[in-house]
Amino acid sequence: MLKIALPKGRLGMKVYEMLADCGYACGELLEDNRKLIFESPENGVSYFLVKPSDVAIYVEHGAADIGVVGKDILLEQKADIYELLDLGFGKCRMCVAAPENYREDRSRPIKVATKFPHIATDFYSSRNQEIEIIELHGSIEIAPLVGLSDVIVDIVETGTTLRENNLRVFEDIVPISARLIANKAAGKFKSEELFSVVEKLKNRKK
Amino acid sequence: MYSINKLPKDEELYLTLRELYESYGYQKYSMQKFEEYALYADHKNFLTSQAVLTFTEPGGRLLALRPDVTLSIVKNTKADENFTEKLYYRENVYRADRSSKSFREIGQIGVETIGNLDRYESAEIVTLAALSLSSVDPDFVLSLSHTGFMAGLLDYASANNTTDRSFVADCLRSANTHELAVFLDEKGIDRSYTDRLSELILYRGSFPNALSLAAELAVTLPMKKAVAELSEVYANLSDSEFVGSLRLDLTVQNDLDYYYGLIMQGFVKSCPKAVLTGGRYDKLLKKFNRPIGAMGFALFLGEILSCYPSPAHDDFDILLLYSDDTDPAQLSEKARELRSKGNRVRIARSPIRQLKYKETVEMFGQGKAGTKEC
Repeated sequence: MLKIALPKGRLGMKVYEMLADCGYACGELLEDNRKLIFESPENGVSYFLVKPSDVAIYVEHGAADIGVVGKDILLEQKADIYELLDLGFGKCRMCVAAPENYREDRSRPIKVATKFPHIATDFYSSRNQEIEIIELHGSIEIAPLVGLSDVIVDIVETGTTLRENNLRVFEDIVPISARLIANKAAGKFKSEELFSVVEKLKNRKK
Repeated sequence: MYSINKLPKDEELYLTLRELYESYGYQKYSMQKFEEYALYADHKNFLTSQAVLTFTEPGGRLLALRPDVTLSIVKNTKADENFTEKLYYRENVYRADRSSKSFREIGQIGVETIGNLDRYESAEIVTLAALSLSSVDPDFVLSLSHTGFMAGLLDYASANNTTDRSFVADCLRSANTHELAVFLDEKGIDRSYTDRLSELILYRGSFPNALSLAAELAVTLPMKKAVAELSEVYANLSDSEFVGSLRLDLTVQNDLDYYYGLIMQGFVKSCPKAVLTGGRYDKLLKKFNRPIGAMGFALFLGEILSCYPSPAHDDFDILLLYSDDTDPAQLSEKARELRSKGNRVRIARSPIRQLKYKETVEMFGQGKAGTKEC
């Protein structure tokens, strides 16, 4: 039985539909209930619905064999897992954004507000630029508008939220999308089942 | 009598592995719990975690609760070009892992060979690693790789700066062939080469087949040397009973500042993470100005214990109850008699509901002892 961790919400449902198309359906997942674990012994699969930012943790610790998670979370958490496929949806970008009239002051560390302190630190350290991280958990766009930070490092999809707050993208850091990940031990002991899922999803993408 | 299969997994494993390592002529190495902090500060990249638990002793020296055993062994080794030390140890190390915000005590059993190492010693360490894993679980995988192959690949891909090298290393470690392919395309590497490389990264078949694929991909001298060394080690092991559990796996990585040559990771069926890591670390010896070879591995007992919990046993066998009018001499004699038959006996005034035991023997008053099963 392959254990699959899906993120709760729209992304998780989209992934489930893809997997169901590939022969891994589990009807009770679509029922309106509060269950969090669903099994389909006939299809050899069980699903967990978990908080999106926890998927990689379940997979790394072997509670799930495979999972689907955004690249942003993978880069931030640096979980020790296999990243086997870019599923090609949930596309957005991790960017540096700031007010329209922002000018970098190189005489001092840049104040960076972000939900992604590791991504921001890695990006600026590759430039040998000193920064001060201000870790926030939501509405990051407000930070430079009220003087809390100089810039933000955040996910940008359409850019509408930035534009409406007179912010713009100054730099693209990395493209983000949904990724299929796997536990390393499962990659060795359940390799047939696991890579069969990967192949079917790959072929479906084509 | 208390038997080996009543022992917790880590104690059972230690007894088995001690016998194995001593049968190969390895000596036990014991050490103090703490070292001078400077040892770890000078070799931070060798450690799996940067956080080290430190304290100042009354004399003013800054000491650390050891996060690693190998560094201490290397610092104190008596090995030289004419004398090879072969050591094994069972010690605790103190580390903060990536996700935890506190330190943990982690049990390790490990093996180190230091001195003038040849292909036999490499094969011997791989053999001991495989036999150690099979003592944990006969269903295991020992993944081997070679730092020279990755170093050669980085040069071939013109990954010349830290960011690119780190990116390629991350892609290999996570079997991220789709992003690696994009990177190699941008660097002008032929698509057919990239496809074969992806095939090797994801390959799950036999070691010899993977080796053939690696040989095809070895386009630079370091890569060719890596493949030759892997072939040589495999040739020494091809008749062993565990050969089917060996894999060539490019996702295995260790820090390139210290490791050069064969590296390995071991997995067992019930554990989601690697329970063994090791490899050839001559570069660490060079940093100590010792121009000799070194190779070893460590087994992580905490991971093993959590995946192979001991079966629930009784806390003891017989609860021997007494009261104020029990003759103490008769009580002691009864306990001695029961223990001489191999029972674990606890003496108490009344039943203990918090613990599990097989039977109760009552010695109230001066009369004969009465027994009751629990």
